[in-house]
Amino acid sequence: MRSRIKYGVVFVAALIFFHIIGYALRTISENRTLETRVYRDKLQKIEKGIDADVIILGDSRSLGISTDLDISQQPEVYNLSAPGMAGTYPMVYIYEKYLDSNTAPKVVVFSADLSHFKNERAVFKSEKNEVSYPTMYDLFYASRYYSLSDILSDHIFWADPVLAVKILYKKASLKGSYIHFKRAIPEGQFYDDEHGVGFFRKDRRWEWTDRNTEEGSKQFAVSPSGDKDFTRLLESAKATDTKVLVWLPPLPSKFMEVRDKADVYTEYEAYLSELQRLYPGTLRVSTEPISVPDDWLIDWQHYNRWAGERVSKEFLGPVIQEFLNEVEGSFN
Amino acid sequence: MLFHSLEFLVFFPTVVVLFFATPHAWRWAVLLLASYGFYMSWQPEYALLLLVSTVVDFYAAKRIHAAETMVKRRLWLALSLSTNLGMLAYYKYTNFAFRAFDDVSELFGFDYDAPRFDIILPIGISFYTFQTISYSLDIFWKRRKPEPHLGRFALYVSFFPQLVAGPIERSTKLLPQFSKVQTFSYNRLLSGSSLIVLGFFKKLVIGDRAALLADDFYANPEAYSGGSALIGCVLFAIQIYCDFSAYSDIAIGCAKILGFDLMENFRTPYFAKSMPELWRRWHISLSTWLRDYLMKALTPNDRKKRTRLLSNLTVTIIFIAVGVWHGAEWTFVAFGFYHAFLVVGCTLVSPYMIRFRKAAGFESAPWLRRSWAFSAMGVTFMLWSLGSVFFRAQTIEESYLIFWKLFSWADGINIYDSLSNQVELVILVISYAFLISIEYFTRLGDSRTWLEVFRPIYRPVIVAFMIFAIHAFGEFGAEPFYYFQF
Repeated sequence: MRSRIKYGVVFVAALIFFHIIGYALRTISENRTLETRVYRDKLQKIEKGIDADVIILGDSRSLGISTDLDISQQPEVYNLSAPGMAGTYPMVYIYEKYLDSNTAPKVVVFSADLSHFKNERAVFKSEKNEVSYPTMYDLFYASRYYSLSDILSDHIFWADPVLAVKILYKKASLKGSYIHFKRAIPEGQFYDDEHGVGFFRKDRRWEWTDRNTEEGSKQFAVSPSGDKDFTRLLESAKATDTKVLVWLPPLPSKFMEVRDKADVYTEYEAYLSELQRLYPGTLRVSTEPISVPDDWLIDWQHYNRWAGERVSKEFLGPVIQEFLNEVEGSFN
Repeated sequence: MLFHSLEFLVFFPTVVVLFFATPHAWRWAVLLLASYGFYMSWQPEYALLLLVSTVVDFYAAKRIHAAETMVKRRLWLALSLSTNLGMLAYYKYTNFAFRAFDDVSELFGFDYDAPRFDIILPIGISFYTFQTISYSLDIFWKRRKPEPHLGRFALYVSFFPQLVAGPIERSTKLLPQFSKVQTFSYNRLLSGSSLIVLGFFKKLVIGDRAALLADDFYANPEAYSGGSALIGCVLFAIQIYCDFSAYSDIAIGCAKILGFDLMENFRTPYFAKSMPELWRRWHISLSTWLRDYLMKALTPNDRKKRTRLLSNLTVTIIFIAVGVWHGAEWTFVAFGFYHAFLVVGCTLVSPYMIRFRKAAGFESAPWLRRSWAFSAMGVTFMLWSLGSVFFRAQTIEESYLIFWKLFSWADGINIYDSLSNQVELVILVISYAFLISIEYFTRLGDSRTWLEVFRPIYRPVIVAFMIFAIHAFGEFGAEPFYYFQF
C-alpha cells in the first residue's frame, strides 16, 4: 500500500511538473494565431463601441481590405471580416452583435460569393458544430487554436455556468490541442485592431470543389438558410436606412479560371437580382468578377497589405461612391 | 463510438462498474449488451449481421461436432464458411468484382458497363467474420469442443474492445476466459490503463498528426516534389502503425481492466531487420490466423509434397489474401504482390546474406554487428514505407505517379515549406522519437506489458509525460481509426 501511495504521489507530481513546464513554454512563446485574436479583439471592440459609417462583412479573404476607401466623404470604416466566416449566418450574426452596441452604419459591404450562401451556419467547418448556431462564446472559442487554458483563464467563461459547460463540451469535440504553444503567427501576418484589418496567411493550397459532387452541389447553391439569414440582414438594414452592397472582392487568377469553368452562377445572379428588386434603395449588387495577379496575395488566396489598400481604393471605394450617388445617400 | 470520444469516456467506466457489480452468472449479459450497444452506435441495422453470423456458427459448430460422417461435417462447415465469407464477399467485394470484370473485358476490347451497387461496408466485418470462421475450423479440426452457451459465444463474436478492428481472437483463448470468474484487480487496472494511455499517445499525438501531413500529400501527390513524396510515404507508414497499433493497445487495455487477456497484435514492427520478421511483428493476429487456417488448408499433409516452389506459391497466395483482406481495390492486390515478392525474395536471399555478412567481417565486432542490424532495420522500414504507397493511393495510376515522383526526384511543392507544417513535423519527430525510445526498451518483451520493463519509480513519470503530451499536443477531433474501413 505504501509503495502505491509513493508511486501515486510521483505520478501526480510528474503530471503537475510537465504541465507547469508546458504552460511556461506556452506563455513565453507567441502562442496566439492571428485567427484567434481577430474574434476576441473584434468582439471586444464592438462592445466598447465603434459607430462606423461603413462596415465590411466577410471572411479571411476580405480581412485584408483597407479601411481607406479614398472617397470624397471620408467615411469611418471598420472591417468586421474574420477568418472562417464561411456562411451568411456568422456574418449576419456578428453584424447583429455590432448593432447591439453601436448605431447602424450607413453602408454594409457584404463581401461574399455564392459559396457563402450555402447551408453553413457555423463559424468553423466541423462535423460537430455544422448545424449549430454560434454564440458569442463560439466566436471566442470555437477555434481549435484556443486551448482549454485560454478558456479557463477568461473571466467571461466563468460568468455563465450553463454556457461554460457547453463550451467545454464543444472544446472537447473539436479538433485541436488543449494547451497551445505550437503555432506562432506565420510570417507576414499582421492585425490592426483599430480598423479590424488583418493579413491572414493560411498557406493552404487552392481547393476547388466540383459542383457535380455531393459536397459541391451543397456548396454552390443558395440554401434556404443562407437566404433566410441574408434576408434578415436586409430587413434590418431597411429598418435603419442602411445600404447593403453585395460585393465580390477581386479574386486570385487561379480562382477565376475555375470560376469561369464552373457555370454555377446563373441562379445566384438571378437570386440577387430578385432581391435587388424587392429591396430597392437598400440593396446594390456588384458581383462582376475581377482578377488580381498572384503577387497581390500573401499566400494562395489572401491579400497582402499593399493589395488590400489597392483593392479598397481602386475597387471598393468607387462602387460605394457610385451606389450612394444613385440612392442619394450620404455620410453626412 | 470511437475510443477517443466523450461517449466512450462515459461508456467504458460505466461498463466496468456494471460488470464487476453484477454476479458472475450474468456478467456475459452485461458485456453482450454493452458490445451490441457499442456496435449499434454506428449502424444499428448491421447488428443483424453479427447476430446471423453468431447464430449460424453456434449451431453449425454443434452439428460439425455431432456429425458422424466426414461428409456431414464438411456440409456443416460449408454452411458456416459460406455464411461468413458470403457476407464478406457481398459487402466488401461485390463492386470490386464488377469493376474487375469491367477492367478485364476492356482489356479484351469489350465495352461492358457493369452495374454498381450502393453498399455500405459494415464496420468490423473483416474482423469478426475471421473470428467466427476460426471457431468453426477449430471445431472441424477438433482443436476444441463447441461452446455450450449461446450468450457467451455471442459475446466471443461481438466483444466490444476488439470487435471493430481486432485483435482477431481465437476461440481457444478468449472463450474459456468468459466462463472464468473475473475479480477486479488493481494491478490489471494499472496495466490496462498504461496500455490505453500508450494507445492514445500513439493515435492522438503521433498518428493523427502524421495524418495531417500525409493526407495533404496524398490529396494532391502530383503537386509535391520528390523529397516531399518520400516524406509523405514515411509519414503514412508512421501514421498507419501508430493508428492501428493504438487501437490494439486500447482494446487490449480495456479488456485487461475487465479481466480478459487479448492476444498481442504488434511487437515493435519497425525494429524488424527483414520483411519476414516485420510481418511476424505486424498485425500478429491476422498473420497467425492466415498461418493457422489458410496456410494449413493450402499445405499438403504429405511432407514429401512440400517443395520450395509450393511453399513460395503458398506465401504469395497468403500475401495476396492479406492485400485483398484490407480492401477491394487493385492497389491492395498490388500491395499483396509487393510483399509476397519481398518476403519470398528475402527468404531466398537470406542464406547468401548470412554468408556475405560473415565473409565481410560484420560478425567480427559488436559495433559492426549493430551497424549491420541498424542498416537492415532502415532498409526494411523504407521498403515498408514504399509499399505503403499501394496501401494509401486511391488507384494504381496514382501509385505509379508517386513512385515516379520518388525515383525521378521531381520538382514541386515542398511539404515543409509552410511554417505550420514545419512545426507539426518538429512535434511529430520529437514525439515519435520518444515512442521509438520506449519501444527500444520493450522490443524484446511482450508489448502488452510494456511499462513493466522500466524500473517502478520511472513508470509513473513516463505515463504522466504521455498524459501531458496527449493533453498538450493531441490532435483531438474524433478522426476514426484507419482500420475501421476494412
